[in-house]
Amino acid sequence: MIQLHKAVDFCIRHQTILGYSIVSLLTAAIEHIFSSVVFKCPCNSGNMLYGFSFLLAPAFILFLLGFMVNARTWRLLTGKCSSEKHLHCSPWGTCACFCQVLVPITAKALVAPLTWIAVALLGANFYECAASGSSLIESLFCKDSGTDCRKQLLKTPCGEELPAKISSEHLSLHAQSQLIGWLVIASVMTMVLISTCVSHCCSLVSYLQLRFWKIYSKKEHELFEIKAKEHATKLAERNINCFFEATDPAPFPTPSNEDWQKISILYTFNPQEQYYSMIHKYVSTNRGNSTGFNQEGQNLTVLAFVDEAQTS
Amino acid sequence: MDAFQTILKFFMNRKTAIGYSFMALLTMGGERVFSLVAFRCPCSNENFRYGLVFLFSPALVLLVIGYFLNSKTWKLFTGCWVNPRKIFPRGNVCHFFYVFGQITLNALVAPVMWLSVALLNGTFYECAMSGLKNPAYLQAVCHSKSEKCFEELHKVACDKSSLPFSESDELKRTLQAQSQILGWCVIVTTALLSLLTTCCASCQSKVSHLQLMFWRVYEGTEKEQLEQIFQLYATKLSERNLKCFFENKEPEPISLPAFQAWEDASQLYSFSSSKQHYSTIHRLVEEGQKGISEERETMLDLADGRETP
Repeated sequence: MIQLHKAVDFCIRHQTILGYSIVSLLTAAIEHIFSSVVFKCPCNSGNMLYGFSFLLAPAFILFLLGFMVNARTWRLLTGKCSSEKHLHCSPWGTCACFCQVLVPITAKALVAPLTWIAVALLGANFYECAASGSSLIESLFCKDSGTDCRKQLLKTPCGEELPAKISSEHLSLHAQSQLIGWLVIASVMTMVLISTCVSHCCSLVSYLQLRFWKIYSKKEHELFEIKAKEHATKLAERNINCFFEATDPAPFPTPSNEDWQKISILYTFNPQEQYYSMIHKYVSTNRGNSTGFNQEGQNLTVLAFVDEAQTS
Repeated sequence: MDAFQTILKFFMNRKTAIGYSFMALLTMGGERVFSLVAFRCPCSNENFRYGLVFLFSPALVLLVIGYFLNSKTWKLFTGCWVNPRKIFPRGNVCHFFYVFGQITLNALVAPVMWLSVALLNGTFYECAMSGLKNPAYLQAVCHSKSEKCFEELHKVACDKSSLPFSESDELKRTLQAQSQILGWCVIVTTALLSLLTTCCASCQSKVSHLQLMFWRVYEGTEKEQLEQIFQLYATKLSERNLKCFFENKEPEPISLPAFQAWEDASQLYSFSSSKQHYSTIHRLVEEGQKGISEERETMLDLADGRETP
């Protein structure tokens, strides 16, 4: 039992890394299943379309899923087009703020598709099929050879060998694919490292305060869920009992619609203030009524976790 | 015990994702079973009809099951013959189509999953299209092959044609490739459409993000409590009735909601931004049993809890 407890604790402490590793393993497994069971290169003029559809369609779907799963997207979008007046409603300000928030969300959503593309390129089946039908590769490989070269090239994914003259001069499609795969992985890792360094460099918040902030966000989210469930249970009990017993309902204090709107806004950082979340800000500025609540702040990338802690 | 609780909580938090993955796995398994056990391409002029039936009938069955399993369907239709005003309330005729559209979108998930898995596998499409006698299509498929391709395409799926092996193999691969590209198109289009619809619905929502989260929690809790109180009252009432029957006594009064109260509580709910109500029962209890308000604004999102009737 203690062993299990220790294991669970370890998993919880390192859940981000474990999460990413599991996602990568899952991607590799699914790619392997696809390329061995489902993928059959037609070995004719449709090679390029077929290969690229297997390479890019899952990446696109993972990209869309990345958007749907990120809570910040929904915080940004919910209620934006409705006719009701909101706080922070200057249109050009909203547009710039929109873009500033959309870029980090897009960057986060790109992780899964890039993992798929890297794993698929390392597996080499999809690229081999697609490249054998591409006119660029054909012009590279077949520039001095006859018309048979094109037909032979189209059949290479089905096991046919190219003439020794051509295959000795150029890197094989299999090798090309794996090289490109490693390049993708290396460049993505470099970009991730640089962007994390830059965002931390530009952070207006110190390291220890950031660590405390992350823990606060998580705890606030957990307590929000517990309190929401408690509140909902009490409200539901009151309503159902009154319905069945045909009595008048006792007054039940619950946050108004405006209060909910105020705490649902995206968090912005203002160095003059010391608020760790919108709920903290709302509670400290007299339920959002004092002037301090409406002051403009900045959307810091390093503080993206404040809104993402609330998963939908 | 603590560890198990943590593990359970982890899975309960991701139950939507786990639910959809399970449905996808079930669809894949079902499709494999069908194509290995039940599907035998006739390799005659009936290919097209046979393949299409296998492709679309399970989708239709899944759609109907989806309608059955959504409790909103029954809330919408129960009692509609007796009182048509229920479906077409005064001043809000589009309400029925809006709700029916939502229910349909929810029910379309499983059939679309089936279609994409079946197309990615390729067996049904291969059989169907090899029997299509459309001259333009035959020209496109057989354009660089021998003359026999035009007459014997429908036998290619069972390897019974007199074409050389390399040609029939290439034809099969071409048909499978077409099927798989079509399958990817279906998946990508569905994903894009569902993202756009959810974005639009969210954008136009008059309810803020966190309040929507609370609303979902409230709906779940109210449903659980309603079940519990149904059990409680049903036990009390049946105990009283049977006791009085066997002991030949007068029954004590037990207060239950009136017929009209049940009718009003069974209406589909939509959030009104001027009020602070989270469900039909909540509104009923706070405002008394007046007629249904004309304001029909936000409905809880499309991926609203699927309940068994």
